[in-house]
Amino acid sequence: MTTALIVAFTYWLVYWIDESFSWQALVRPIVAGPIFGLVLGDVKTGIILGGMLEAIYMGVVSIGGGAPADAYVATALVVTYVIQGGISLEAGVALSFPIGTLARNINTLVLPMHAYLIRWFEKFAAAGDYKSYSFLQQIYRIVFSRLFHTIVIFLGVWLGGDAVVSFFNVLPPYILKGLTVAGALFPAVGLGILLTMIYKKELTGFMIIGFVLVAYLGIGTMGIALIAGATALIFYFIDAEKKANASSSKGEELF
Amino acid sequence: MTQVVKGLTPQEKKTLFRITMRSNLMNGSMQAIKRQAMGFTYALIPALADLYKGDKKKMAEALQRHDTFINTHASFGAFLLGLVYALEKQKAEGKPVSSEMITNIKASLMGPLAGIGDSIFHITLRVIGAGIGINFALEGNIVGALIFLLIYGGTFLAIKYPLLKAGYTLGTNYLKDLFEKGLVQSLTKAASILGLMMVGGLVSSLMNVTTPLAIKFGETSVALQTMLDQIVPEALSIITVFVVYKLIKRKVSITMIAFGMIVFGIAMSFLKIM
Repeated sequence: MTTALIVAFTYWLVYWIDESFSWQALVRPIVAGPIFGLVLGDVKTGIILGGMLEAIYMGVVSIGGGAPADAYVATALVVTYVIQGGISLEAGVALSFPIGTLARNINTLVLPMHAYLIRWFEKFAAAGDYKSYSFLQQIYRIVFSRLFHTIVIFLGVWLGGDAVVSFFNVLPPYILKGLTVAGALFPAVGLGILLTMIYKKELTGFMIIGFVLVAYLGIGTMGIALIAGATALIFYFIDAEKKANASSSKGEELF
Repeated sequence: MTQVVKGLTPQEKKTLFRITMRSNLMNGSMQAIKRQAMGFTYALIPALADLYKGDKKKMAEALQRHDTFINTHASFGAFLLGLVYALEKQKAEGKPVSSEMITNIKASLMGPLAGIGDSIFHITLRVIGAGIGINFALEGNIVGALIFLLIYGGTFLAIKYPLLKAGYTLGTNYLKDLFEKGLVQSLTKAASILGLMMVGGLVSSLMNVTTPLAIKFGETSVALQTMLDQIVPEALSIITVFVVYKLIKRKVSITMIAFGMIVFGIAMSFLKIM
């Protein structure tokens, strides 16, 4: 129980410090490993395990949001299981796979809560109350952004590794699969909100071109940015020239 | 260029510094719906507070303008913050900068900035830092973690202010020129084109909605996804975005949409449709 509290608190604190720089540095296994090792009284194991986990999760990084596994939750629990539960380093590393992939689903599960809290921000924004908006940003990130992850860490340490894995084995597979499906749908909400602000019927063609360039031709973000930039530039100069002509012809009429 | 850098007033420098400090929380309150909307708005508040002080209505408009989906690199996004500060400043001074134009510029630059930031930090510096660090770590040496923090984390923090300042001066210079020539209308249209093209691309790159369904023709079965890909790849993704867009237009709450997506996802996977 005490260990569970300590590990969960450390998890929350380190995440909080890391997020204060939007860093994703302290939460990487190579740094988080030694930290959990330190609080559990075995820094050396923490360092080595952190290095082993980093080697695996080096390629696992949340680019554009969707990481395939939560390396930080995996590090917290695996380091604890190895130091406290006395399992081997290798067994710990093996255990990190199911834990990391399962932990990823926490974000999906708590999304309705986030969707609800977002409305508070919208309310303050609509009132022009920037002080409350800033205050809520602080409260939100400190309290809510990792609340459920912290609870999961607490339960994970308290119940032990075997219990966690066997619990998820009991769950019907379609539930976890379903959460992954839902996770793939979520970006549509943000894009939908964005579209309500910038969509213009007469410019739909350009949106289709952008879609085609990526979906059919597989052009990357930088490539499409250059093409979109070039297109915008062409239309900008055509438009500007039209305006220049219009004003100069107006001038001719005057004289 | 040097003239303008000299021309930054102490007030502007102070605001830029405060934005830099607040931009550290860019990823704070990150979630899958609006991503960094709150972090970005939070970082911009020193500028907004300066510009719209005492005008609740304009302040509200500005907050609502920025409290929307943005997905960029936490460190490289500073450039965008600087540029948006310059735009907001022109707008506050009564220049014809539309709300839409600002949103479009954000929408079109967030992706490329994230692309540059991710390749420099997540892919290059992080892998170099981890690669060197792991060797020390496996020997039980704490230096590994410190090397990683220095190579990846140090540079991550160091570039924020220079990028922010670059965005601001670039925006101010360029916009001043445009206003003098009276070409803002043309720029607004160009920004809309750029924004919509980028969002069209984002639908395909951010989303990946697929189906495992297969259609049986006697002995052989053909995967529905393969057929769809041959007609319109990412068709399901664009349909999803379109449906959500319509729902939001009909004032369906985002909480309901998010909750509905989870239920929908589990139902679809139970029925083996998705």
